[in-house]
Amino acid sequence: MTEPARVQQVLSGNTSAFTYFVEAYQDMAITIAYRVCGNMQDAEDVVQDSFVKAYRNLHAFRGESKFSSWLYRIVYNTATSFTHAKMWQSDADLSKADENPSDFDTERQLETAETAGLVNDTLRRMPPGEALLLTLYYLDDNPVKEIAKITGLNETNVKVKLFRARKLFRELLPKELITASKLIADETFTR
Amino acid sequence: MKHLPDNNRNEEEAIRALLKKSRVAAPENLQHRIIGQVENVRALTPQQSPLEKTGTNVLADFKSIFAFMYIALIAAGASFYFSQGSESLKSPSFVFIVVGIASLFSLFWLITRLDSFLREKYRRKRKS
Repeated sequence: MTEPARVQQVLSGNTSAFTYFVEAYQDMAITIAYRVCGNMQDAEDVVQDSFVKAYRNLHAFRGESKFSSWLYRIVYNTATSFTHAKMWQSDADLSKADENPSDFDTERQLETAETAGLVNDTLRRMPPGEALLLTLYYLDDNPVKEIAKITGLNETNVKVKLFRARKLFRELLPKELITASKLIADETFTR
Repeated sequence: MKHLPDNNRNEEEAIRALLKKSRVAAPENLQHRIIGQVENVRALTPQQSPLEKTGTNVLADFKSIFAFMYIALIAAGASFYFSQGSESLKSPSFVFIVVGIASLFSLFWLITRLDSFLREKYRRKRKS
């Protein structure tokens, strides 16, 4: 069944049809909220609030964009107003970003924590807006056009910020992890 | 990404591979919390009764009220004509009755419109 058909089902009073949207998008929604809020407790509240908002305003969804983009826009707006976060401050959290990765005991981290933990740590040390752009672009494979719709930025701005975010991510990422991931990427690319 | 040079493309893929691991999994109870709240919202949203006026129908009110007014005017005219003849239709008392009936029905129509307006305003306020 297509998503517009499911939307129609929910609108006609079948609340259980809404479960599909929750199941399909809750992980990405909480990832977005977590990038903005910085902690799971707030992220959960934001996601719950966002889904309820989406349900209330489902009649306003016209199907011109993807349902996911529409929902992520609600999550993004709810999270930013919840935290009053300044998403696009270029120097935001630079004190955090300036932490030198070499200060961390990288070897120990690699041994004890999983790669996911390190990547999440790196993203946490980045300004929330830039971490969010990387998440939307690489994790959920959203094109620039959809990211512009979600964040309310224009496409050029998204591209510029994405470039900066990528650069900062590379700088902050523990070097061992870059090498390891490049090797994996090389392997997959040459195959 | 086809236009990117190989090393750039490699780097893109490396970042993608790393970020694919950064997805945050929603806790198991979150879905139940969301659906529970959605059910509550649905239960608390007042269901529109079929008898409830859904909007203001200006023309319907206008037609029904003024149709009765013209029936009353024709009845008054007929009673004057048959009891006192055609000359009575030009008398001041008949004109007074016509103006009275027209004013009464117009006032009634005005009250109906005001009532519809206030109902609609209240409905919108309750909805928001």
